[in-house]
Amino acid sequence: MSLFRDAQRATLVSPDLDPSDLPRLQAFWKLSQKYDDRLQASIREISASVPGLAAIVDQIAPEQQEAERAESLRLQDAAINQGDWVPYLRRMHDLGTQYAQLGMSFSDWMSLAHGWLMAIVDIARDAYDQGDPAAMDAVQGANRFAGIAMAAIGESYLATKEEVIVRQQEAISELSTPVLQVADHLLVMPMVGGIDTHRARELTETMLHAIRDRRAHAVVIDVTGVPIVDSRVATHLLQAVEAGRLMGARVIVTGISAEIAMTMVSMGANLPGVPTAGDLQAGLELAQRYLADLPGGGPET
Amino acid sequence: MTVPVLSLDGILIAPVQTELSDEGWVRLREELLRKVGDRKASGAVLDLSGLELVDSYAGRVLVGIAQALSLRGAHTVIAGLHPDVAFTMVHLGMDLRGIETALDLEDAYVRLRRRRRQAGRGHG
Repeated sequence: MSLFRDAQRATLVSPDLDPSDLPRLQAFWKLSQKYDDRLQASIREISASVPGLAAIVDQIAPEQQEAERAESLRLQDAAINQGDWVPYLRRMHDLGTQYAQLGMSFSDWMSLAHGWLMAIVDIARDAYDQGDPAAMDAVQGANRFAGIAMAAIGESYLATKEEVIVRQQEAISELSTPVLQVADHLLVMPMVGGIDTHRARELTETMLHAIRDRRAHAVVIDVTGVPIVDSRVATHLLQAVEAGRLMGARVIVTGISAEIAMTMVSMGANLPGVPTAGDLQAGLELAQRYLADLPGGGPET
Repeated sequence: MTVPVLSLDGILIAPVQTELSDEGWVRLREELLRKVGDRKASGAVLDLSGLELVDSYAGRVLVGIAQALSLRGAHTVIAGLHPDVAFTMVHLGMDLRGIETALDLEDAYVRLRRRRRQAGRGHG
């Protein structure tokens, strides 16, 4: 059961209810209204006992908490008793986003949801003992209601968390393909970490744009910090070197360790025609000699 | 669209401002070959900074131009390729390793001037 007409744009739709759902939902509503104080006390207990939740609840002023609770009840009423689900679902959707942005963990949220349900079950058991004929229906209604609410909260919670992760990955990417200008017309790109196809593409694009923007004639790509340089990585490096050359820059690769060099050769993955140097220092010297030889690359004559 | 081929002190300059058709590339090659003789040019710069795309036909023509001009004593440099164009060309597997390259027209021109000076000294 998806509550979204279109997952991408999160257009909310009313849940598909069975004929048996409505009377159960209404029984749940009546029970929760009758024992509202007890239910609120249970929820406060749960929030206080889960450290992650307590921290979040503390951030909201009591008056605002009360106002939000009243609003939630009003929307629940409209959903269950008048069939107007969308405003309630929209609110649950917003709640999910809020939880994710506040950094609530998935397990803490589960504790809250589970605790709420258990509180209802407790109340229903007591009601049953006192002869309330609708107690069982109320429990089933609570289950159904919780399923609907949790689906709405869960989807937006996850979507928000994914957005955060994507933004973090982009930030890491930016940090991980630095371009340093160490002298006129000379750039250094110290690579750290694995180079997969995606990163190789980024590395090459960043390098090419930097060549143009900083008017570079030489680039030293240092792979000392790259743990695996296999034939795929070697191909990526070859492509970067040639693309740089098409823009008039000499691209030098440094930092291939002795072990990696032997592995590459045994795999037939060497870098034919690519200027290399043992370490970054040697690579910089090579680059500077090359630049000095260029017309206009060294000091003005 | 015809590319004007200018001559500046023995070096030809061909600014390619927009995409060329296959025929356009062929006309450019013919014009360069003609002018290299007329002007006794020692070098040619093909400024490709106006191109958003270099397809495989254009790539082959560029290599052909460099080879033909070389047979007539002129050295070719292509310049001004946009980062995205260079990226795409390499990933399409185009092989332009026979041609010298430069960041822009000015770099290319200065390089050809120096090359001629050095060649002149060699013969002197």
